[in-house]
Amino acid sequence: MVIRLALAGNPNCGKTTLFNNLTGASQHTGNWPGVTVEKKEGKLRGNKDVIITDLPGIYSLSPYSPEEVVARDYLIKDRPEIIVNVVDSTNLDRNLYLTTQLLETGIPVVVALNMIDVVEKNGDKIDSKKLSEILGCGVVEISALKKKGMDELISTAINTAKIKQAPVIKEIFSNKTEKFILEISSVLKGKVEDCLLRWYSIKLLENDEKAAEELRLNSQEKSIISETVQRFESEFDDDGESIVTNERYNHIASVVKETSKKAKKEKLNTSDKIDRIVTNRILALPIFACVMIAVYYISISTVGGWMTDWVNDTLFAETLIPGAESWLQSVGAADWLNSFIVNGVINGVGAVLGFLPQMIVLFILLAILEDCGYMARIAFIMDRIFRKFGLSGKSFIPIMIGTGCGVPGIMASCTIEQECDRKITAMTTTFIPCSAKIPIIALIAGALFGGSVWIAVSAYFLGVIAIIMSGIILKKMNRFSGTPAPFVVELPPYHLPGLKTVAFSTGGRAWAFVKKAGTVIFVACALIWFLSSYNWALQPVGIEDSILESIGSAICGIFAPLGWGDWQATVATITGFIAKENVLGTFGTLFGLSEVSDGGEEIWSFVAASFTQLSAYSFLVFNLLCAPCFAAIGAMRRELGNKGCLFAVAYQMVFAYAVALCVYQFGMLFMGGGFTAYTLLAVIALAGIIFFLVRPDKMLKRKKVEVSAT
Amino acid sequence: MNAATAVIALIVVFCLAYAVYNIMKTRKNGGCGSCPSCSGCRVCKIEEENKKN
Amino acid sequence: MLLSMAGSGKSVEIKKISGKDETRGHLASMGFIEGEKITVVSKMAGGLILDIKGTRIAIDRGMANRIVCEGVA
Repeated sequence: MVIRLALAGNPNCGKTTLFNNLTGASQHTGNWPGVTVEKKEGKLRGNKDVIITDLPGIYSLSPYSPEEVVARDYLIKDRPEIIVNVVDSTNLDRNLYLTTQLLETGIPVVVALNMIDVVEKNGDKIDSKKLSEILGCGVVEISALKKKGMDELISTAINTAKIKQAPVIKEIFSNKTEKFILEISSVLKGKVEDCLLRWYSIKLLENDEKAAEELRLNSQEKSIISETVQRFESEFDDDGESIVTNERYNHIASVVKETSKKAKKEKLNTSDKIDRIVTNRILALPIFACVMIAVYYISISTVGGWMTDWVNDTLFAETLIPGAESWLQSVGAADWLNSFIVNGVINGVGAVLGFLPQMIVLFILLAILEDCGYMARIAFIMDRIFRKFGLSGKSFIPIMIGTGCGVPGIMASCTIEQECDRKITAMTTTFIPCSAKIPIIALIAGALFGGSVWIAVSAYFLGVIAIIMSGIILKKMNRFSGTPAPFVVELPPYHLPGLKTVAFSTGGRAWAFVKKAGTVIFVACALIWFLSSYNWALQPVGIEDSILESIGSAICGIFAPLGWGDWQATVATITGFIAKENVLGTFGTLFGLSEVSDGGEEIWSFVAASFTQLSAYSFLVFNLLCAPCFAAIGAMRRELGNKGCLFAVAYQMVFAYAVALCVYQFGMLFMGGGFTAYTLLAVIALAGIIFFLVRPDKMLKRKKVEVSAT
Repeated sequence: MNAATAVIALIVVFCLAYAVYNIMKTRKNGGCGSCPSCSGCRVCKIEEENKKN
Repeated sequence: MLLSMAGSGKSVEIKKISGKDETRGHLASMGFIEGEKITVVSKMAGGLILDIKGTRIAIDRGMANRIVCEGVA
């Protein structure tokens, strides 16, 4: 017999850790809410007949957030054989709120009292036997982190599932309320399965529209129920949901009082003390800025940078490339093959792989920030700024994920409840430099700015500013207008980052980077080599007469106002849409084929020769802000639909072009370049941006009129 | 074309074909590879597992 | 008074929560119900960090404006 076991519990109660323990999977656990959006499945280690589903962390089974809908639909429609309700024992009263609702689903439930070791350490006591009696279901004490109580939990869960022991129904509400529940039950009797009778009765009393829809009642039944609910609400002089919620909490309060004893605890714990400082109204933003500067300083400019230098200068430029070249010559390989392997593959793929050390250091630092609990605070700190511009701090969670990769960032935007916020977030998440854009930043910083940390830092904050500006601009358009989502988020306590978690996260990301270099970048470099070594008649030619040159030259005029109108940079930008690392791969291949390489210099000097500092920065700005790679565009299409995605890409291209234009032309003007037609174009672009930023909000006006009319 | 060129060219072609095959496979699965620069969220791993079952 | 006006370190009791029903429902599931005692852990220009039922919850000021409370000793 196959047993489907669902793990349900509040966010941050250790569900995912338990899931990893039970299945042997290495799920990413994050010390911040909203990590598990979708449910995940795995098989119990040592027993393939038990399928474990990890549901997203939720506070209740009301259909408020997307996570709650996912969890509720699974429980009510798929009806697993057993629910293991993971409860944070250090916080019984809040966790039991969900427990009481789970018990109403009629599915067998086992409560896992997690973090029981922390409770004991605090000197608190929980009487799990009594708790089991009062709740009417099995209760097992466990510690997922220390892997205690796992066997007992599994055997209890499997036994309960096998005998299909549904929880004993306890009348937890006041007599008056129970009377109304009974009244509604009598209407629903026969309409739903008996085990769901109480569930639906309570949901209808709470005015839960989704439950009412599922029931497909006829108009007569509907009117009886709405009349009952009305009597219920007038009797208590409150709305149905509040009455039920309050009585649920009253019940829980009495349960907690009977079953647990709390030792007196200090008022401010260490987490609070840290929060006093890092979320301080004056210090919060400078601290955040310093943290990000430190992250980029360590990974790009110092530790990571040194290692990258060694890989590029010593490993590639002095060893691998001359070695491969002479070996190929000695075995008598044809010249074109030598050129393909050395210039096409080693230079191209190597240009990307050379940045791996910097990437690894960056990944480690981001994983530490994520795991220690600081990331959740950043969302809270940024809420204050984002809110001024019509977005909420909730938008910052996808953006933080976007520093790894835009695709999961865009997918994470679906946790935002407000539709307009969700769409804007999906459109703007890729403005933040993802890990594929980091090598571009590192290349420009290294080749033209002496490895300055400020290039990476400015790129990061340019991304944040671009998101804020886009928030303002888009909010004023009809299709995106709306009030920002309320921001209520749980702040997990700080803890020392786990070595295993950081190693897993870093390893996964670094491996993905290498894998991509070996597949997508490799194939793209081969293509670039071919296109830049042959002409349209497929005859081997110098790079100046190649197919690629003719394509690049045909369109490079578009980018001339941005300061980098040569065909190489144009081609690099275009190949960047396949994957952003391709910008480097293309430079690497082109460098290998060009004459500069004979001097034995490395790729940086090739790039340094093709740009000035200003044009390089403009190139960087455009590549950071323009439409992301195809995979991310695909993710946007899933979130926004075809039309919305087209609009998003067009918006990103125009916005990137306008900003890069302003950067280059005003930079030139500032450096005494004189006023040209392009400068005028930049003035127009700037005026356009300012107009969209400050134009009056039509929707806001209309809303105000409506308010004053009523 | 001499023997060395032919052998190395063959290896290169094989590598390219394998890379293309890998790209196609991962894209089709929607698993790892659908995020070009994975951030280690591991959602894909689970999806891959689910497809296998 | 409104929760947004409570000082840092103060304990208050929730008297009333106004606003759209779904927002109230979400707040309630996190422990924000009438009669509940909460402590303002820290305050910054944009929002508050609260101690409610032993966990830290961050909320924005607009949300805090919807919660009417009364100071307790």
